[in-house]
Amino acid sequence: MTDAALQPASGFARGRSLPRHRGGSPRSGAHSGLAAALFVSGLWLWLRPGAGAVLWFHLIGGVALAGAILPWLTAHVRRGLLRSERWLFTQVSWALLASWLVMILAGLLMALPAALWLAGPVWFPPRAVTAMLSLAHFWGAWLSFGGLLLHLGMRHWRRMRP
Amino acid sequence: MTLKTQLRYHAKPLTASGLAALIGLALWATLAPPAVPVGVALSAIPFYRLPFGPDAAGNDRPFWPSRLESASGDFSDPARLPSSADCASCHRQEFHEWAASLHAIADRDLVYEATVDANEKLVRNPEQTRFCEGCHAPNEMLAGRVNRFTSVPPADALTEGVACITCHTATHADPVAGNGAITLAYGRAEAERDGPQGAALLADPRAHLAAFGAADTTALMKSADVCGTCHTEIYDHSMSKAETPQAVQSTFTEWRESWYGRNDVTCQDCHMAADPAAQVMALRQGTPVKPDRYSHRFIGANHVMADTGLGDTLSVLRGGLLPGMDAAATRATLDEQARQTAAFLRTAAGLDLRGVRRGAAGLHLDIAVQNLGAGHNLPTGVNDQKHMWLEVEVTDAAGNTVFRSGGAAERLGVEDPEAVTWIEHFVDPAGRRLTGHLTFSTAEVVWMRKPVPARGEDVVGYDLPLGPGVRGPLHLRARLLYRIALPELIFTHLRRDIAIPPFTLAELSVDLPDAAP
Repeated sequence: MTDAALQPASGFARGRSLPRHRGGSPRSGAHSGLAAALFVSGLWLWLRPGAGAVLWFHLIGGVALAGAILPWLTAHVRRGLLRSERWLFTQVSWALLASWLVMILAGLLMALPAALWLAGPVWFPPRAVTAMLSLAHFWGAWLSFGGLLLHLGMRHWRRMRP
Repeated sequence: MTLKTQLRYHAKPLTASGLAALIGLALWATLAPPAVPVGVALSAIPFYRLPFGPDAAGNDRPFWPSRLESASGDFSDPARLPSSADCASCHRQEFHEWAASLHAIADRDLVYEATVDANEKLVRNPEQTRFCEGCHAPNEMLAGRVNRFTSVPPADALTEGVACITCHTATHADPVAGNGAITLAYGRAEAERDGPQGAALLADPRAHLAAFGAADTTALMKSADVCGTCHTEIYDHSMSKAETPQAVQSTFTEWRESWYGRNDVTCQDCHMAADPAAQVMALRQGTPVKPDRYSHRFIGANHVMADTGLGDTLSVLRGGLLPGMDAAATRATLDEQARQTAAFLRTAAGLDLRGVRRGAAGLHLDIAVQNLGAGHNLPTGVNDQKHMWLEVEVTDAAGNTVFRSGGAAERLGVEDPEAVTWIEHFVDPAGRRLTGHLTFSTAEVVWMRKPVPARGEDVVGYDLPLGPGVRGPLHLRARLLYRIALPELIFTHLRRDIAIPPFTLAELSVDLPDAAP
């Protein structure tokens, strides 16, 4: 990433000389698409536990998204911190990051016994821990999606005073 | 109002993908084959007989004279019932513990099987054995295999006695009515088997937990009620010759009325403690404590069925190897079962010399038989077989026996009518004693000497006629012995002379200097 790319957005240079911001990239768009599909399939599983094919889609898709989005998030945070001109936007973004991390971590921990099973060893956490992870994953998903929409729609630049 | 560029950009993949997923799931739900219905109707089991008629309300009683019930009212498909060996793929430790228990072999135990056969020969309708099988073979019962004409195919799960699914699908229990008054929701087990297994189950175990750890079942499994349903046995005219109800096993009510019942020390707290003997010793201090971990060994008093010293005989008595177990694993878990059972039995009782009086005719001894650690009567259970007796021997200074009661003859398996014995007799309508646990012929159950209640004692008095040649000091040696079954039962039903070693619950050895002539 060049220094120019890391320039703070002070005054939000929206001059006509700059290229129009597209609002995302094919990569982040793919993340959003997969996340939406996972949200819907997760909600389906919550309402109808025991749907095998849906569960496998959710598991594989979830692990794939976690693997893809974590490096992207790292870079996005570094870039975004420099561009955020609003305290509120920054705090909401940190909260969003936390909810994504909780959701991803809880999901990966829930998938761990399945991965171990496929590798050979049999291990699973106590029932109370499983229930806690499930709740964290479920509510983390709602917060992550609500927060994502807020993050995408919320103004991050300072208003220009006349 | 204009949307922020980022929201405009991401709205498309978010909406499109979310909608696509929703449509895909809706299609999948529409096109996927419907779930296979669980349960088998009574009318679908060929030749299933109901010889005892309907109940007072006119409803069928497919399991009578057992009080077992199916939650759905249906039977189960044996092919869809999970064997405990299936549970072992994840719950290995619990399975190995359970495999050594009496619960695991409740329906395979050769002595039990032979006794059921003997009872079956006494009656016109072999379905009367449902009374026994309701507690000993709930899987077979709910599959519809306990019938004169067996039309249901066998399955591994049906060879297990009180299996994983028995307790883990229980929804209701009536421990006061007993006689197997438990309601089992085997439909949950059948449905769960159709869901994801293996890795997928571990990733999302909610369906599994809903089937085997539902809130109603979990609450029941923590209470003594679930145990009481089979550890309460009352004979009436439905299954015996009794004119009035005869309490044969009252372990639940004995517990409920004891210090243990009043202090919420449940059956599970002792019999399912990871170290049952240590648990009992802690409770003997008077502080109700819960074990750190619960085990599935269900440690009890039957030390014979875990005695690996019996060699191949034990394997035969236990009905061979359970599904999912090999000889080495069976031996290992039985060794631990035997160790825990022996340690547990040693915590139950005590003997105490309460008084020595010299009279004109000789000596009078008072020996207290104390129930120190059992949370129910001592002995308890099926006490026409499980009994205890006191062996007392007094020797003089030269080591000569001057008095003996309940001695060598008892230990060799011949009942000594003079011995002080805590046993109940099954009596037939003609007043004859039945030693073969012939439930269907029993008219009355009579205690020869009342058992010792929890935290209670029974003081036994002995009058010793001392001859002129007796020289002191005298020495008293007393032993409280316990035997799990009468040798007559084994010989009558199995036609085998298998030794049933007694277990020494407590010993007392004391000099009687003041009483020396």
